[in-house]
Amino acid sequence: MFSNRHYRWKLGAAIAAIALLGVLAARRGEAVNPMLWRCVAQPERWQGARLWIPFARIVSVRDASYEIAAGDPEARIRVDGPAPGKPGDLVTLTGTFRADGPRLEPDRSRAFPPRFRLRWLVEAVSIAVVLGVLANLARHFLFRPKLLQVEGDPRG
Amino acid sequence: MADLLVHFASGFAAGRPLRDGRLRAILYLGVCLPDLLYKGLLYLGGAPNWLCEPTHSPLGLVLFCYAAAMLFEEEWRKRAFAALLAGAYLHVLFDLGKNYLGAGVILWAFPFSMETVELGWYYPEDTIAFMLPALGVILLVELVGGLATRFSGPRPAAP
Repeated sequence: MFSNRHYRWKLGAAIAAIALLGVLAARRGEAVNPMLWRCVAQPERWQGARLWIPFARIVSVRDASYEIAAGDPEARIRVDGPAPGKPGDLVTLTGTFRADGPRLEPDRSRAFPPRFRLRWLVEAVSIAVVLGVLANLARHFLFRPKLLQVEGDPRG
Repeated sequence: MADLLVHFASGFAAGRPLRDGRLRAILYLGVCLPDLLYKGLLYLGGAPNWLCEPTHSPLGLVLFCYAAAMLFEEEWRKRAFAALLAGAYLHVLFDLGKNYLGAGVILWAFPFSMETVELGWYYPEDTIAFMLPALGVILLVELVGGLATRFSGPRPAAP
């Protein structure tokens, strides 16, 4: 399984299986949690769909509803109920899509706390961690012909 | 790649008892691998979110780790596969604790089921507050590991 025998076939089969899993997840996942812009573009098709919106921005707030903008490409939708924050705040929510409107019946929602704005710092540290991990791996496994030549040289 | 310092700290604590530095290096890569693959596919490959989800599913990770292990030299592949998979599963285990309002992001039985799970112990942005404790864990583990090495004798030299 890990030998060099049929190496290309084994590596090719693994990559093909990975690609197949990705396509399968994309096709089946489309119906599980559709993108907001798709729901807004075809409201009747997605009537009753459960939505999870990881990041959204509150655009405007009314007495019994509020409007959010989310996704890429950005789409806007009215959400029933009191807003979890003020206009401009970032929120996350789950809910059920309703074609009349269209609107969103929220199930759970919350506004991100102020420390969410420090996310860039976590991203920067994460990139540094990856670079460190890759440098450490290279230190142990990188093929260095010059070093081998020096070590293998009986005069050296 | 939002919280790799915390993931790295977990891998560092788990991998410190390993005597082979090369195996530890692969474990550290494994613990970063799910996010590296996810963000790589998402941002560099321009793939849709769902296409990237197998990078955080147990069966999907077996294939990713197998393909990555095949890039090592032949005598290292089995160990590389085990270390990569152990690190990747540790990563998924930590992600399992996150709270996505019940939506979950771990497809635990994919491709047999699209059911997602989460334990909901902490919000994703809480990892900002975990950064300093993670650094503390790394320092503590290094300190304890160093003391243990001193009392148990020197490590064998790498061949």
